[in-house]
Amino acid sequence: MTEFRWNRVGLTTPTTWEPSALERDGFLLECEGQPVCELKWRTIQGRFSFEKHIKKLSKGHKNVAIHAVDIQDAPEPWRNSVSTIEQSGMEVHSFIWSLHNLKGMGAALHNPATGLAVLIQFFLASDSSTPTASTVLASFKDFSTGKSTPWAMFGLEGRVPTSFVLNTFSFKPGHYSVLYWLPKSGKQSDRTPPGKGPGVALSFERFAPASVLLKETNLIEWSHSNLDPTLPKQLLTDTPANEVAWQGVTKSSMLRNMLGRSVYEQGRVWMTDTGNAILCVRAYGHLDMPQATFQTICESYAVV
Amino acid sequence: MPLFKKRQPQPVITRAEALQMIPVRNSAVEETNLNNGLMEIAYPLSVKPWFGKIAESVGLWDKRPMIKRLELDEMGSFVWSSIDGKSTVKQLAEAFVKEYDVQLREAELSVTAFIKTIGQRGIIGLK
Repeated sequence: MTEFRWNRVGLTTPTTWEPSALERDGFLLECEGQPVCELKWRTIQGRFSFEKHIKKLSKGHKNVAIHAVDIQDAPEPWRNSVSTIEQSGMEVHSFIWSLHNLKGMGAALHNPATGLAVLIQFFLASDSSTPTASTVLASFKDFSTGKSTPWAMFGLEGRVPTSFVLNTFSFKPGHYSVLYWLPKSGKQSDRTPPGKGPGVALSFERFAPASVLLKETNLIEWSHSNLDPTLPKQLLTDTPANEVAWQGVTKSSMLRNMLGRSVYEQGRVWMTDTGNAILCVRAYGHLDMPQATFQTICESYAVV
Repeated sequence: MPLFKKRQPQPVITRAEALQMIPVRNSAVEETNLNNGLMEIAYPLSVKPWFGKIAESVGLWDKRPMIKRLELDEMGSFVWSSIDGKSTVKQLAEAFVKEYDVQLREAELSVTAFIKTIGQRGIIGLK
């Protein structure tokens, strides 16, 4: 089974399911080139109306027949999965849809404790797909609460403190990057997009294949020339376990100190034992992240 | 303005079909092993007829095939040397995974991008 953890939600799927589209608040999974599951979510304030969402869906997809399903009429595996999710305190409303020869089943989930509203739908190739879809539905997790939030995507996994919000990400061959953001005020406002204003950026990167990248250089030289050439070389330290670490103030002046705009940076780069990759975690911005927190974040980051 | 709206190109074949295609080298391509373990390939440049006529009329071209050289990096050299006229794109990607220990999807993207680039230059064909 593969675990997908992304921007506070999680799903466990068969290993043959892989992401074909990824957004900050949604992803589409496919199996052998065919879509199998789509997940979208957002945090809402106030009451959640399932009927309103079904109406909205029907309006947005005029050719698709969407009908709410009473839980008693749903297949048994689906009923069991809904019951499992409801036990965790979430509200679940199921629906079915059909378009020409395509059909599917889905559910709108709402967690009143966190305000998370989720729309999950499965593309059912045949009736035998329902048990698999039900198992995947039952695996749904809301990670909005807790001290740290996990993320796992494209063979990487890590944990970030819950106060950080997902900013940008890119998964290109050879270079994966996931960037989180924490505003200096400590809470992300709805008006300002992540990454704007004073705050701390936390980046997770993976470079591969390490054997090619480090062919005529070493990790310390590579880190300096590829990660941040502006980083003072004296900050970089080559630790014995084949890793490079740095910590310090990279931009400082009397004016910056007075305005509280000194830029702190700490980072760690290391080679993985498996996967022939270089992993890098960096925290930089206007707040000095406690070293213990940074250490915990680095320890959680790994190739799956 | 629908008249001027650029249409999104639709894929002619599926991803699975594309991965089952077999790259075949152009017989006119010559390869040279460089001292650093990398490879350089020399391939005849296809000249557009209108450009050829102009170049010929001003004495810039004597109708001999123009040769262009392309130096491949380590991974490009590996994929090029794996193209044997029998292996499919998928098999090349799997060999790439075995050699460099990267993810299969990542290898498929890298290998297909490389094959597309050299295919556009007429260095290989696909069957």
